Amino acid sequence: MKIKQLATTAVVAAAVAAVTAAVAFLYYEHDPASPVAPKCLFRLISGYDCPGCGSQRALHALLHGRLAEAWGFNPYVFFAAPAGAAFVVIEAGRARWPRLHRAVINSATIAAVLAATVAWWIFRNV
Amino acid sequence: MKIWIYIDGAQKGPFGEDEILAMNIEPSTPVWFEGMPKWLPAGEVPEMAALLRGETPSGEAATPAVESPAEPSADAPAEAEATVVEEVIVEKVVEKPVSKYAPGRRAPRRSELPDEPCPPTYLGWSVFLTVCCCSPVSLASLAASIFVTSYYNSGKLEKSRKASEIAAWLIMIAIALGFMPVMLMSVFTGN
Repeated sequence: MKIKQLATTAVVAAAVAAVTAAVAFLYYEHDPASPVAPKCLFRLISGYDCPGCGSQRALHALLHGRLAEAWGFNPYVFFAAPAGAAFVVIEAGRARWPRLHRAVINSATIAAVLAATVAWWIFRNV
Repeated sequence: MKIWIYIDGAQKGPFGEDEILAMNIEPSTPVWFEGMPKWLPAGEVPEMAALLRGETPSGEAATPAVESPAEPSADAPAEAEATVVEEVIVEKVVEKPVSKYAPGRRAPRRSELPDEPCPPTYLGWSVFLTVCCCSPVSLASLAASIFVTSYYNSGKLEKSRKASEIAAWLIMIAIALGFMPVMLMSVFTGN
């Protein structure tokens, strides 16, 4: 129990640190095309965009207040990032909100998310 | 040994063995203690039966409930009562996960464990990683998440757990692949 709590705290701390670092990087690193900026492996190999490609540029634009430009880079981020964060919170708070967890985390939701993501992936590459 | 019972329409406990002896426990009274996979009528738990006969239970960490699983059609009134306390049982299992995943235990079938919660789907991580890391791999972990819930719903708990593990691995692979290009770039460009 004790170890599990420690592990949970460590994971949360690491996630917060990673998100903070990513946001700081996106804000101060003015060129998302710089060599040290993270690249999408799928895009490097295949040349096609993955569903998340452009999210870094989109967040960079968003952090600098250029909303329309951000939307142009990757509109998918605007739905997936909040949804992903909400799902993480619901899954982590499963013991606290069992009913909410049961209502949200089920086959139908996951299938809908998967279908939407794949549809977006195909749509952006044709 | 701390024992919980379900009596007079409410879950009560924890009680010590002495207290249990002093109480009016019927063989059909649902009981639960650490190590049991689910609530069972006291009469079907050898340790409890021994206790009710006035014998001192051996301190063994044996799990009699698992070795002698309840017949599904065992005791009609107890079954009905068990349905009533379902919500209570779910809460109990959630706060005592160690009793389910303790090592060296036979994996129970779904039919024995109506209150076993669905294994984690890691849906949030998968969705998050479609945005920031290697999307194709995180899509695969989304697919694995579907298997987690659909296997669970069809009662295949073991396969559901396996799918949950696979989803977790795919998420870790997605994170690794998401960061690998950064490292490669750093190496090749000398930055």
